[in-house]
Amino acid sequence: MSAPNIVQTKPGDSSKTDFAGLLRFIVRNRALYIMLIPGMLYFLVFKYFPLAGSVIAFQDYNIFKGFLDSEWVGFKWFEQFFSYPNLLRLLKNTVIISFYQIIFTFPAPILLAILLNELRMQSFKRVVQTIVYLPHFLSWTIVFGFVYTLLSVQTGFVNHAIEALGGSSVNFLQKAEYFRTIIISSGIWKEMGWSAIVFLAAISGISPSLYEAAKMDGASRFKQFLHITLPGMTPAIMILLLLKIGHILDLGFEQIYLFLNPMTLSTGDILDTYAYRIGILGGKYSLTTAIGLFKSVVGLLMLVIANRASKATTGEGLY
Amino acid sequence: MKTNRKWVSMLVIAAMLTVVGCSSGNNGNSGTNGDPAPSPANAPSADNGGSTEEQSKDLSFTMYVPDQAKAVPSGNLLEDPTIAYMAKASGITPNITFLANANYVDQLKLKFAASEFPDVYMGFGLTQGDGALDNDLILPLNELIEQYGPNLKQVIPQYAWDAVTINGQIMAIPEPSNTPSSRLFFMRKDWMEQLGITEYPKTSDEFLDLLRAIRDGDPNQNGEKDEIPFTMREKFSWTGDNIWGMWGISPYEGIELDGEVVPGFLHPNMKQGLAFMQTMYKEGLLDSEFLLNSAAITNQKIASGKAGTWGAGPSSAFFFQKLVSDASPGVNADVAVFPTPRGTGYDGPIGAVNFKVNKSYLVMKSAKDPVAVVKFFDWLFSEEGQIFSELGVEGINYAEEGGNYFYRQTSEAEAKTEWRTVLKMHAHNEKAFAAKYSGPEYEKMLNAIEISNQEGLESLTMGMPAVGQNLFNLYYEFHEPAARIIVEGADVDQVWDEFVKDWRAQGGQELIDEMTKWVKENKQ
Repeated sequence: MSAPNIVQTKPGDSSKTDFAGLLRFIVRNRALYIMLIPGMLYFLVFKYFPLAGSVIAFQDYNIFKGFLDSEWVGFKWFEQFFSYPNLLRLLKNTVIISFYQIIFTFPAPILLAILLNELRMQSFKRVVQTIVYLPHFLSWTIVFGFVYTLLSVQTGFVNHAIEALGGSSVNFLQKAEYFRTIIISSGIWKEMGWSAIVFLAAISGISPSLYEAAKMDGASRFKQFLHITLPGMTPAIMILLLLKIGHILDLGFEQIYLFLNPMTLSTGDILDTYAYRIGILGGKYSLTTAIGLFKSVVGLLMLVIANRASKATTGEGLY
Repeated sequence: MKTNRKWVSMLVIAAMLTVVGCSSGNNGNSGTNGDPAPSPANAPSADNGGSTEEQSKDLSFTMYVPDQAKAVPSGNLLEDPTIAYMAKASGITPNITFLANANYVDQLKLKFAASEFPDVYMGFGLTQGDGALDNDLILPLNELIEQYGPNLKQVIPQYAWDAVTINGQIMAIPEPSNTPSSRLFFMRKDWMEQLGITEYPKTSDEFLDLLRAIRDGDPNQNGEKDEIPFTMREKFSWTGDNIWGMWGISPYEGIELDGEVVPGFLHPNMKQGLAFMQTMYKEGLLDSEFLLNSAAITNQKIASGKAGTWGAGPSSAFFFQKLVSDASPGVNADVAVFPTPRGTGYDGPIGAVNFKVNKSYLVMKSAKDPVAVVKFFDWLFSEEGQIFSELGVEGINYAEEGGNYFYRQTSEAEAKTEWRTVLKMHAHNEKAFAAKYSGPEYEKMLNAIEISNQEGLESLTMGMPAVGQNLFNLYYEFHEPAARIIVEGADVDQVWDEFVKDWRAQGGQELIDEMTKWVKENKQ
């Protein structure tokens, strides 16, 4: 993104009022401002106006009365949510799975991008890239079907292999201790290739002259990676990492909901699946909104903290 | 600079136009401006008033129904031959809006939230949770039915009216069910015969013996021990209901216990079913993947000749026969429904919960012409309407010769008329039934209807508004301890008694009180 060619005036510099100067500035750069309108409208209509709907977290929302006439109940839903006996389990599962995602899922596409970048044969690279990003287009329902076909005790390939090697079969999908592993690894399989595209773009944005200069100075392949590729990718990595941290309580409802069953609730029940069970199935819009609001506030706090930390350490930040 | 001025002036003009537009709109509504045409708002309504009189020849109403996940006619619906026939034969034009089947109730709620109200919409009994009933938006139909519904009064039995009546007010037009007990046990009867067992199991112990025989006897004759004696679907779904039903429990339905009305899973008899399932799992009689089986996976297990017994709705009586026969034409498969065995040490009613009413139609208070709605449904209950709703339109779906109907099943998908099942309101029409089903299909369907009428459990809370059940979510809490009992072999009494105690403490008691109060006020 190169800086737009803005015509410089200095509002308030002359004797005229600031406002007139600002207006003239806007009019002079009108093309840019007009181009800004659709984007701003998008955020207003789809992001900011719906924020007002969050008031239903403090109401006993009734769809026939709407949020203007529904009764105000203060923090009732938050109290109900925080007094849920399994709340600690929900938070623990959510944070642990999120933590695993940051540790294992997040670096996977970075590694893939770096490995792909080191390939010599462009055609081979393209084929690999296409194959690994295809799973992104499958729905989680289909991915669950694959996982079931692999891990089923009755028909699964993995269990047949274990039995052929003399072991006894394991009911992977109905055991709490395997749940997080399955979630994380299927998540990596599905999204790794797609997420790598951003990092590949970041790598290709690095000026070739840097590599040439490094080669002239006798830098090895690894040194080039360490001192050119990695620093070149850092801004992209940091921004995506910060965004991921901002979504610390959002794990992707669909995937976990599909994999979850009563035997795996103890390690896999998260805020989103709880909100779905209690709210959507039970029609409790206010309670679900309260849970959503709680998640957003926690996410915002995490984002601010992480951004501060990132700025202090690497100098990179979202804002 | 010139261009700048042009821009500013354009902005100013635009702003002025907006202001003028708004203010003139306000004036028009308030009517204070002394405009020469002061009442534009009144004029159209006068027109409407005039046209309703004309419309007496041309009755119509709007209606929301689920699309049954089938292809529905598009474009101008009045040109669709089926709808055109219906409008002509009944003299009333229904303006149908199809909503997606999968999340029908959610879409209804969205429509209601946007103040889009149909004149009539489809529901399931009175309990689907769209909230219209609880918010007093539904029109009681007693007088209209008395006046305009001779067929309704004649055909619909009292028990079906009772299911949609609250405090003497009829809140919906019901479809009486001809298969009240909502789930039945199915089995591969050819396997049972293969194993040398001649009679259906009559007790839970005999049922266990049958399952053991299926496990050990290799009835599918492939030399492998791959039979699944009993399979059921994930989430403790209705496909396993008849197991609790051997001890008279339907997990989610209200049952009396020590003067209170509690959900079935709180009743001590629930533990008998749990212990039974624990035994089944331990001995390898229950599908080891009973927490994972989606509908597709379950059907595949049945089709591929692995499953010996399972539970399903009575209407699937022939579906599974066809599924198995189509998948393995060489095998002489015989899928049969059989009466629910009686649980050891129990002598009350057995089976699954009775649904006396399948679907129902609720008329909204905002309906412009509720008479047209009632007249239309009255037509659906006439002989002509019954044949139409089951067999379709002559020349499209069936042919008639000398009083005999020749129905062509495949025409439904071809002519996109499968949605018509939303209009089937009567319980049983022998002529249509005989035209639809023949040979083994006829017998299997009839057998399922018979068994379903011989067993079944009464639910005390049938008809209780879902929205009133403030703690609806608590219904799913029993899945986890139940799974632990069955899979991990935990002690039934210890785990379940503790769960029941916790459940009551976590707000369950509130739900119990609500249920008890509702039953007292509405059912006794």
